[in-house]
Amino acid sequence: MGKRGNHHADDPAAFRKRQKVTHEVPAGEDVLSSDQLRKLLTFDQDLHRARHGLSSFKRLLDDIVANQDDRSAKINLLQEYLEDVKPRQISEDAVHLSDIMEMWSFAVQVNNDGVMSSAAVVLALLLHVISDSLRLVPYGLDICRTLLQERQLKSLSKNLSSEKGKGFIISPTLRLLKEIVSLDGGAFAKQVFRARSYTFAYLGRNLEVGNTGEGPEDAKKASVRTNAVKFFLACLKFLHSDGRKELLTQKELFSHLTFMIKTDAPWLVLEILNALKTCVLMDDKIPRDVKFKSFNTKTLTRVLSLYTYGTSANTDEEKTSVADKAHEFLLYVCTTPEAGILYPSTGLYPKPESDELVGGRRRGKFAGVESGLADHTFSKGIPVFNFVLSEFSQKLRPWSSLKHSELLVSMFSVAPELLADYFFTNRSFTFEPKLTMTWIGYATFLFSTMQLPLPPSFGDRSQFAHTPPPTTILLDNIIPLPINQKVLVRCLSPKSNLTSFFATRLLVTALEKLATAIKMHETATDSKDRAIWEAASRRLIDAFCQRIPDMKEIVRSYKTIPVENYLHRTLATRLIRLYYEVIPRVALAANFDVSPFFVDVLRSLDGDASDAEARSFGVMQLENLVSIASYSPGMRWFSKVDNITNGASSLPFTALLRLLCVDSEDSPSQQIKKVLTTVAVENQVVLSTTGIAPLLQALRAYKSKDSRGMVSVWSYLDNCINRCASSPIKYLEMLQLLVEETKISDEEPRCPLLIVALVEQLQYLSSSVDDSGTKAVAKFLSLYFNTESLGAETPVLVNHQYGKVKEHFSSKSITLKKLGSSSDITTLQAFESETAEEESTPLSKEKDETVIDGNSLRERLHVLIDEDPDTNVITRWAAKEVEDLMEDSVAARLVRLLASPHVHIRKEASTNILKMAAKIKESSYEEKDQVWLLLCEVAESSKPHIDAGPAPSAFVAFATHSLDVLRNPLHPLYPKVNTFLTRGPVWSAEKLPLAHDILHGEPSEDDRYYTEVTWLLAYLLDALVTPFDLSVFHKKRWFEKILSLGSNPYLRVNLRTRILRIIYRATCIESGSTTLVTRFGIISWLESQRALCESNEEASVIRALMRRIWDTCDQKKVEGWSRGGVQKLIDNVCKI
Amino acid sequence: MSSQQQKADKATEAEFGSYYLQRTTQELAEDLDKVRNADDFKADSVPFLVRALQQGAVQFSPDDQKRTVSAVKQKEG
Repeated sequence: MGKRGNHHADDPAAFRKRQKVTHEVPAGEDVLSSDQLRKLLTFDQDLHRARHGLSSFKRLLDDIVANQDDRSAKINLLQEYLEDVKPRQISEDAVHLSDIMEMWSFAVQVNNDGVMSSAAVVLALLLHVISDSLRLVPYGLDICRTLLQERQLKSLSKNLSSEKGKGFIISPTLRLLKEIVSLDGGAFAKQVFRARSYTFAYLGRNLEVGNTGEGPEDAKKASVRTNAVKFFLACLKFLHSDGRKELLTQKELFSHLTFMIKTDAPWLVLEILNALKTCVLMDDKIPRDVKFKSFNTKTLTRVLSLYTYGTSANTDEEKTSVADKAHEFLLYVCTTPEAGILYPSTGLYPKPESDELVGGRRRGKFAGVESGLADHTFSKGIPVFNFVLSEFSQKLRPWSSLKHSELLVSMFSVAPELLADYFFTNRSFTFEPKLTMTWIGYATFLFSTMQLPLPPSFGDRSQFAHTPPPTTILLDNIIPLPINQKVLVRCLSPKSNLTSFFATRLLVTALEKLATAIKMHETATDSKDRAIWEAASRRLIDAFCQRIPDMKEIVRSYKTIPVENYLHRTLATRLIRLYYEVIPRVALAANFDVSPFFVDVLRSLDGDASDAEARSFGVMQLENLVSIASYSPGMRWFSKVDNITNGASSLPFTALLRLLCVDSEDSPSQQIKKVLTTVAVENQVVLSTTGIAPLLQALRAYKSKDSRGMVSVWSYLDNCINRCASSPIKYLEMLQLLVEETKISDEEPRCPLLIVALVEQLQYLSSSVDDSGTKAVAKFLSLYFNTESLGAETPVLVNHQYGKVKEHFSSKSITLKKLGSSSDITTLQAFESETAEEESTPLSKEKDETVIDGNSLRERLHVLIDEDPDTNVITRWAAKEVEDLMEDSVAARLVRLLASPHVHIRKEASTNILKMAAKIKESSYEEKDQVWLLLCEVAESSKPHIDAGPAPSAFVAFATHSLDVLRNPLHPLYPKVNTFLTRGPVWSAEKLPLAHDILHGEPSEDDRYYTEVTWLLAYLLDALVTPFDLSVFHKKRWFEKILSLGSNPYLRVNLRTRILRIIYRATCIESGSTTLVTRFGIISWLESQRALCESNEEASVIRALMRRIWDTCDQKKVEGWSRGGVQKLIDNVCKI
Repeated sequence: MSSQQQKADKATEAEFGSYYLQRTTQELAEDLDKVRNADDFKADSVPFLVRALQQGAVQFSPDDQKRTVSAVKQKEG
């Protein structure tokens, strides 16, 4: 490039314009001897000549670097020269290469840019050559020592502080410094750093003098920034930990290093990231606080910006490699505790606000249940240990970048505390369904988040031993905040299969995680804290249920999924099943009849119509539906359904049996087998000891021999199972007759009712099947009787019945082999292993009662009474929306205050209930009239009582439980509650509102009797708190009614437990136990219940309850009343 | 044996993963077309979308995965 003409310099405009700096470097001459070189470099005040000498030296050095043929000769020449110019006296102050140093110093004094630049260029190059050649290193060390003398340091500093535009001076100087630092394994690194007032002059600025040209930086003409970065990185590399620490704390240097990282060349970015990782993050001697200050949110965000690194000038490969490296780097920083940024945290237990150590354990403001950790709500945000990561997490956009999403999820996995905090802070982003990539991205991120397992001990072993984590935090970990009921209902709408599919997946994961959390609550506790954990678990489930859609939404969504979308349908059935298994109260609240779906799937699986792929999903669906059917009481297993298998009608039970026979080893359908066994045993079709295994074994064995004959076998079996299940008494009587006939003892095994039915129905066989059919049935029966008699001895009854079978068929001239014939046994053995392995034997019971003491009885049956309810609700309710008053149970909490021990609170509550009723009545709330009526009635009914004491518990309990009913018009009690409310404005304190109608009236829907009873028992428990309540229960004979309800043999365990809880509650009230014993004969009732108990645990609970009643009653009075009978009975029972 | 077993499990997992992707693409085809035409769909959204669809495969137990993979193989040939 030509120099500007001189005439421009005279032009006044030339000074106003910024002059383009160009410098002409003399070419120099070839150096042939050391002597020549020495002469060329002799100090001369004529700087033009000096420059000529330096250029000649540079030519020599360039030739060496270029690695030409005569390299060694030139190195020899160089060595000779270095030896020649060595100072005579070697000391610390000796100046090596004194001519060059002097030239440089002189040039600095007279501000000669050319020589200032050339001197630095030559020295940098010389050290570069020296560092490549071991024998020259001693000269290099001497030169470095010289360069670190004050005069040279000043020259260095002067060079570095040149104007920004003079990169030709600054860059070589930085290169020279880098060479000094790197020489001989960093021998001078420390000294260079120590002299930083010179050597680091303007480094901050120089780190930001980037590439000024257009397009990517030329590797040969590196920018000032590139050279500065290389110098900085060399310092990092060669300094030891203390030096690195000081380097990092140099004001703003680190920030200057990362400020322009996005515009650096790809190789430089990689070098920076590598150096920071290996020399800073991985150096465990650098204190955490230094790392922490360096890698603040600003730095992390700058590295994050590299995810979108590159301009059009960069190749795709370069862009990806930088983005990948940055991702790897951030993953390391944010997830490796040793890197120093990730701080140890306490999982789902938030950081205490006042962090103090008590007895080696961190105990802060939140610690302990007394301060309400478990039900603490974090209105101002969740305190976290990792505040830097928390801040950084808000910069991420997980919905639009896969890498961002991965990074954030990894952060959550190592610091679970961040999860709830992230969603709490980031509320602006909603999950409203839209068919966009952003929504899908967010759904993907949420799914990955929910897939993270809950940390063991919820993240902190020591706190875990004392208290459950806060419900809100745990809940957000199970189902993140953006996923709420409203949004999910929209996602599940039939408008889009995609949003519905994603929502279903999310819900499945959430429910599975909830189940794990509940299990953790159950196993967490030692006996002392059991009540607290149970309460926390209940609260968690309650809160969870408010976040998810009702069962009816799920069912509606399932119904709208096209039949051919079998993956989606399978997932939906799994979701319904999880509703039943994890949150049965929500599932059972919707009246879901599984039968039609069940039959549809069975039909679709029938025959060869479906392909293998659809079939495999069909089986999965069926497994789920079978489980659902086993939970829903309305399932009719033994009613014939038309056109279910091969166009014929069949029982669902038999249809499933057929399926089990068709399925090969790779689809064992264990779940179906388990449910069928339970159903068959419950209906007494087969024995509880063996289940359906023998039947299945015989069917499979027969099918393998003669699949055509199966038609007759199925039809016959279907008929017999149907009869057996629909009229068991007939067959039980026949069985009893057989027992008498064969005179077998009580210990002898019985035979299944199915066998009795199979034999009894033989007489009608010939009318329904032809000869080949008869043969098929005969062969099958022979196999089945064989499987039932496998074992040490053939049961007498089986043998006896088989005799009848043989007799019947011999009259049709079909001869059957005797039981245990080798050919039958061989046929059966092929199907043995499969049936033997899976049979669990929980069905057989052994009596082994464990002893339950008073404390564990309390844990099981005691339900806490909230004696000091939250009074804030009196003042706060007014600010809430009507929907929230109902949804967040604010109304219920206000009603509960009527039972407060303080008169002014009761009065306030009464007034506020009426105000609230008025507010609700004026609103647009759908059930406003009923709620208004209920609130007015409870306030009016309580009015005469609250001056003297708490309102009757029955009023409060009825009102609070009814509010839940009124909220949900599909609730089975909705009609009854409404009828009751319209009956009269005031309730009688001597009665329990509505209780009589439920227990003695007809259920509003046939199959909802038990749902109503469940509600009633919960209400009655809450209605029994004070001695006054006890007297109502006593006078109105409510105990009698409850106990006779408890005598119902079909009552499920959980309902029986509810009754025991009411009894336990009575024992907590003064004279309760005595009343129970002397007025209601509770001891003998309990004793009879104990004798009937099927589970040992339940029996133990009853025994402990008897003991408690005895311990808490007026023993003298009871003794007199029973003439010592009660004590004798208690002693006998407790001896067991 | 155990390492062989692990290899086989991995293979099943991978096969099921790709099957699951194909299946979801088929079942949700109509909606996916709408997503492809959305403003925020870019060239680099494809890997994200693949990940989004495929990630649900983990919800199926190894047994179910095996069962499905062998059924698919049976169907193919």
